[in-house]
Formats: sequence, C-alpha cells, structure tokens
Amino acid sequence: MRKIVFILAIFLLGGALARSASAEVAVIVHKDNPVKSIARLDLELIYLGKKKMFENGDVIIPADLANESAARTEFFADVIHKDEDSYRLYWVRMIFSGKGQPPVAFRSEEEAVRFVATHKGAIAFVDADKLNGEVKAIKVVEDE
Amino acid sequence: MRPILRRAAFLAAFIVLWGTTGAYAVDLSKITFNGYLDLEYTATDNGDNPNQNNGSFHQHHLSFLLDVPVNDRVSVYTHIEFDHGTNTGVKNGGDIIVENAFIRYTFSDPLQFKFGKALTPFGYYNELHDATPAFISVFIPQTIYQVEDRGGRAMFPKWTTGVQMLGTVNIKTSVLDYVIYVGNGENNTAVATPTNEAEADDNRNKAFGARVNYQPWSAVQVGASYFTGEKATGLTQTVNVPHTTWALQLTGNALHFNFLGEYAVSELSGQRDYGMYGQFSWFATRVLTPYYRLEHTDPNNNQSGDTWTEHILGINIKPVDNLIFKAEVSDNSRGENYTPSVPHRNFREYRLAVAVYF
Repeated sequence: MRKIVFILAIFLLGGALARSASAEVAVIVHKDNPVKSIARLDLELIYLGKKKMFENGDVIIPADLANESAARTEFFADVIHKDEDSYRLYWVRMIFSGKGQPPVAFRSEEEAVRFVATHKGAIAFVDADKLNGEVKAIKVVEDE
Repeated sequence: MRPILRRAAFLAAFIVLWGTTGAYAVDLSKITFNGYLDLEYTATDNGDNPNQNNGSFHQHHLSFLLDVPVNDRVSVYTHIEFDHGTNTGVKNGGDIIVENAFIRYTFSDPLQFKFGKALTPFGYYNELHDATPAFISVFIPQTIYQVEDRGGRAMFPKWTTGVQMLGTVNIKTSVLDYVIYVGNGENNTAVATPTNEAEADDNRNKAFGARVNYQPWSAVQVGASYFTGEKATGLTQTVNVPHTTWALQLTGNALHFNFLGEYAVSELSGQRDYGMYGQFSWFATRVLTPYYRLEHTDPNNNQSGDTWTEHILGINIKPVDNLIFKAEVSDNSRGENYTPSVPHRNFREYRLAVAVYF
C-alpha cells in the first residue's frame, strides 16, 4: 500500500513539475500587421491550412517550429488539438490531395521571430521570452 | 532605315525586352516537390485467384508532385504517377497518369477555385486515391472507391476535368468545408474508340457534384458527397442515361482511437449499387497502429445473393519518419450468386506493403 501511495505521489509531483515548466506562449505577427487579436479557432485553421487570409486580405504565412520546444508542445495541445503524429498525418493527406503545404518550420524560435519580422503576412508562436521590438504579440481570444 | 521602320524596330525591341523582364520566373525556393513510392505483396489462401495466384510483389505507385506558387493567390499543382512499375515496352506494362493538373486560385477563404484535371472530390478517400502513405490500409475501401472490382459499376468517375469552387466557412465554433464542381464526367469506355475524359466530353450534359464536410468540434466530422452526370452505356454513344451517386461520411477520434465510416448509393440504368464500410484504428504508439475494417457491398440490387463482405485486420509499423510498413489479413465472403470476376466465393488474402513519402 505504501508503495502505491509513493508511486502515485511521484506521478502527481511529476505532473505538477511538468505543468510548472510549461512555457508562456506568445502569438506574433509583423509589427505593421493591423491585427490585434485572433480567435483560437482561426489560429487552429491557419495551422491546418484552412484559413489563408487575414481580415484585411493579406495572405497569411504561418511559421512552425521544427524542434519539440515547450512553446510548441503547449501551442499544439492548446490550439491545434492534435498530437504530433496526427498533425503529420493530417498534412500528408493535405499534400497528397493537393490542398496545400504545411507551415514552414524553423529550427529555433529566434529564426521564427526573424522570419515574422521580415514577412508582413507571417504569424508564429514562440516562448514569450523570445519577443523583441521587431514583432508584435497579439492576443488569442476564446471562440464565441 | 526609314524613320517609321526605325520606330517600329525600336518598339519591337522594347516589347521583347519588357516581356522578358515582366514575365519573371517563379522563385525556385518556393516550389515544393513531394512524392511517394510503394511496394506490395499479396497472396491468397486458395491459390487460383487470377490476380494473386502466385503470390506477387507489385511495385504499385511511384508518384511525383509539384506545387508551384505563381504568386500569393495562384498556384499550380501537378501529380504524375507511374503505375504498376511502368514499362511501356511490354503489353499491359503499366501506365503513366496525370492524376492532378490544376490551377488553384484563392480569392478568399470561403471562395477558391480549381481549374483543370483533378481526382474527383467525392467521399473521404477519392482525392487520396493512390496515395498509400496517406492511409493505413493497403487499399482504400473498394466497396465505394473501386466497386467495379466487386461486380458493380464505378460509382463516380475517378477524375473530373473542369472547374471547382471550394472554400472554408466558420460558423461560430464549427467549420464547414465545401466544394462544388462541374466537369466532363465519365465517358463510355465500352465503345471502339473511347474519348479521353480530360480532352473531350462524349455528351452535351456536364457532370455536377458537391461535397460538404461539417466539423462541429475538432474530434468529429460529418460529410456528404453527391455526383450526378450522364453516361453513355453499351457499344454506342447515343444512349445516355443518368448516373447519380451520394454518400455520407462520419469520422471521429478520441484518446488515440479513430473511427471512419462511409455509406454510398449509386444508381445507373435502373440498377443500384450499395457500398459501406466502418474502420477503427488505434494510434497505440508512435510506431504501431493496429486497425480493423468491415466492408460490405451489394453491387446490384436487381440480383440477389451477389453481396461481398470483407473483414480486414492489420497493423501499421513506422520505425522511422516517412516510412510505413503495413501488414493485413483480408477475409472475404460472398453471396451464392457472386460475380465470378474472382473465382472463389470465400477466400482469404494476405497483404504486405511498404510505402515511403517525401
């Protein structure tokens, strides 16, 4: 019995630590982009290739992260609602049915920030610590 | 040189130079090149299935895809397939097929267009028809997508050449995808000199179709497809009869379990074909995905005892990214009046496949 309690405690502690290690994710766009907030569903649709334009008609260029950073894990769980394998399979189906290409993936968050800073239609998600004056963080609002 | 000729020469040179700088090439770094290759092995337990009587390897698909963004709103998508280990030097030496060749124009999210030849947007699978890395089984469900191999007639043409209007619409927290199309439809292949569907229609009536997929929330999607056109039957092209097919689709996923089911009905010349399947899969680990599918078809409602039922039990193994091994057992049982395209009423098939994509 004592062993079971110990194992449960380890699991609970591990879970709490994992949560505390989660990143604060910032969704960023080009500083000249007039967008101030974005609905969670719109963000999901952007990364699933189903929303291609901002409200002002500018074409959206989504940026992904190639590494399994804390920001990416958090973003995928919170916004995309797919695990890595399901997301990859989704895009394999999209590519081979001629529906589009997945977001370009960057090796580091710094590269993603630089990309957004130099492309007006770009959007990305990074750890909030990586923000700088060259990009603008926008608010993610709940779907109505 | 007379002044007028000099001016004409200057103007011509200007037009040529302006033309060469104005029609600049696409940035090569933006072109996407994808493809896939697969190898199958199929054997039956009865030994005299004409297709798999020896147990055979089959280099089924070698496909190359190009996605070329012309600008922010216009792109060109092509998919060339080398089917059955193409060797044009021998009889029945496989095919080279343009699976897709279309222009994609995005006016807005809810209003986009495709112009050209494309796999018909019908049901869950047709646009993925030969893309074996994109589905877990060795073959897509034949009860709907290749019912002609089950004693029925094709429920809809594999390709459509024409115009498609499509888009995505948000309805509060749900998502609706739609596509509406008009095209040449299906030509009569029974005549002595059949026409290429991508080149010319063999009747004046165009084919129409539509598909909607509604996603009330992320884990569930319901869909419906419809196709209607006229098809000439028999050995002349003068007898055109309506061909109408509709299908319903349901997909769902929870806790790494996935369900996919479809039901389709097709009517041509007073004969109805029915097809349905249900498929369960479980993403057990990143490497292993076991699955089970039940398929059932009644290829002709005017004939009793011609049903075909198939149980498929299989597994996907992904040892590394982009490489999939598939193994499945297919148990087939048919009614007493089965169409003898495959000689045995009941038989079992063993299928192995490997597919790679890039």
